[in-house]
Amino acid sequence: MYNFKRQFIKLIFIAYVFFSCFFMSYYKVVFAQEEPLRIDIMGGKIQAMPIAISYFTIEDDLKELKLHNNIPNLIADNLVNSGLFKLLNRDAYMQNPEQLISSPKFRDWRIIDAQALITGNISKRADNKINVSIKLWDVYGEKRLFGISLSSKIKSWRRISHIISDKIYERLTGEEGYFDTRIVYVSESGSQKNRKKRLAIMDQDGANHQYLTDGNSLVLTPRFSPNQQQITFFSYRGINRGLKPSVYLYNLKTGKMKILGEFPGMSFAPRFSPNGSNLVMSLSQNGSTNIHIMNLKDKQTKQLTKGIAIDTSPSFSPDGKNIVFNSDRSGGQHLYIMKENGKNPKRISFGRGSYATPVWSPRGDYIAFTKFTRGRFFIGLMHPDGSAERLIAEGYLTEGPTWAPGGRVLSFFRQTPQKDGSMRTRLFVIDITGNRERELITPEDASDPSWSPKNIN
Amino acid sequence: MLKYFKVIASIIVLSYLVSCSNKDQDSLLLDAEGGNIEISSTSTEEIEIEDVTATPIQIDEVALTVEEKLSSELIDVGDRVFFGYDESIINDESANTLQKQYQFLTRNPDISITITGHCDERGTREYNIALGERRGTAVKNYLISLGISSSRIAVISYGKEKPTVEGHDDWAWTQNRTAVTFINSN
Repeated sequence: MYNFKRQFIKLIFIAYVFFSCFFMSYYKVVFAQEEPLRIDIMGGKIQAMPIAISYFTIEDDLKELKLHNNIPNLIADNLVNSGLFKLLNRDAYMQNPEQLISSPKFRDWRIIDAQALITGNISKRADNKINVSIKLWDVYGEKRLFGISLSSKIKSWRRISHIISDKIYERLTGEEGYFDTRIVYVSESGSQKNRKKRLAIMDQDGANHQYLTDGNSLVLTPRFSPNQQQITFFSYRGINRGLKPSVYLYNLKTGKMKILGEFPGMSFAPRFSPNGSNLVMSLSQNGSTNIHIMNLKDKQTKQLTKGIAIDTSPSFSPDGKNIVFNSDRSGGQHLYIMKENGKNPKRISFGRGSYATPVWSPRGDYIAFTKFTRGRFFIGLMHPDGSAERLIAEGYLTEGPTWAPGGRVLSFFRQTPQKDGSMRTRLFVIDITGNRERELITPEDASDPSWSPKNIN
Repeated sequence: MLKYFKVIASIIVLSYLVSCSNKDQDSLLLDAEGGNIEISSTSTEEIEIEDVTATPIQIDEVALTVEEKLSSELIDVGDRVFFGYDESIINDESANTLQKQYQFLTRNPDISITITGHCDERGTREYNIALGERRGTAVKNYLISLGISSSRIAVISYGKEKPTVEGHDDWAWTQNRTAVTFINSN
């Protein structure tokens, strides 16, 4: 019976994914002569666009650093990981990097069915910086789509590659890129009963990993501020000094941490407003949990919800005018939207099961959430009016969706029971079609990811 | 072997010193169960002894601190109550336990307590923080209704972060939906 039930749920899930793929997630590759080369993420055909990324040319005295291979390889990794591009095998390229310094022979690239070609050159500047210039070619249109040139210190070669990846992605999809970004998350180790949790940060591809806290006190739910330099999180770090478990702020530039404020009860579930000047959070006292907003300049707080229910996990719409949150005011846990001043709360979720941790997409068109139903956890999406609900990921426990800039890709975490009874907790990346799920590699177990906005130059 | 004698001898000397010096218990902690010895002061003295049987060994038991005694008494009384899934209702069994906690708190009017609320893993972190607070508060309010002053009771929620038992089945979930009472140190 149990097995049958599981199979049934699985079947429904597969059907769900299939239908959402069928209706929503068609990928179209357009390459008519007159129209610019572009992938339409929301319509069309499913296949990834075949692209060629040649190794770059480089000055002789820079050669030993292998940047002429490493930079194109990192660009290729980014684009392929997005699921929208397929890298053509370099063994099949008929022109070598040197032959590509002038305009490519497009016919040679059409033979291997490349639709776009990326070429590049690395040179050394007088101030010891490197200059990386790349060109993106439309193979069928036989023209250069764009060229850019970036210079920086040699050690910044990864960021250079990420920025180039974003430019190419943006040119070919029309969507905002998300490669020059970071992810802050909770790194976990030790037994479930006595879990060590510390804040950690890394580039979106897992590079430049570092820990921000030492693990002596419990930390949860870090979230980036829109200005990129601050993180807010929930921690028990002050409880030995008589402080309640509270919301904290962490300055990434200075490494300094401070408590947001002292409140009568616990403060948690923090998130910044889109312009970074306010912060919404839950305050719980006497058994009820309500949403409050704090102006970060004058530290004035205002209560937005009232009553004995649990109102938590608030998240702003990108225009700052509305807040989506999780409440059990109707009995079960559901999603509600209210104005930023707390007025006009309206329920938007009506399906079976519990809905939690809603997060508004940076494009405004979707709300991602965690759903618990029939003993399984799901990551789902719905439009802000509650329509078109669909589930894109599943697990023993999946939780905490976070949006990459552009609003087409998400990260979340998943706990999977292991044969020995332990839990494996890892971060995953998935796109809104529910396809192309992949694990983000972290040194230890990982949870509560928060994707940064684009890095600031 | 000689090392062993030295340790035992140190105990004797120390326990003698301790019993003489107004029972300064902080300097010697003897774990009643394991017999583990932790010597925190620097006054360790070593003496050589040739034959164990020649010197009768006197072992003095170190009394529990007031705090330890109270904690173990609270555990005997019942330090925790349990809840149904996504609930914070004090049922009859919980009421019975809390009645005993009330009597304990009345017998010991000087102590204050912290109630920690906990949830099983089947909920999101943030919702469970709130739910744990609701459970802790349910216990607090029950004790207040029996006559305990609210100033003696603090509530902290750990949500699903500090489960009592590991495991991912009904039994584990039942054990982890709880509110536990702790005595505050001073």
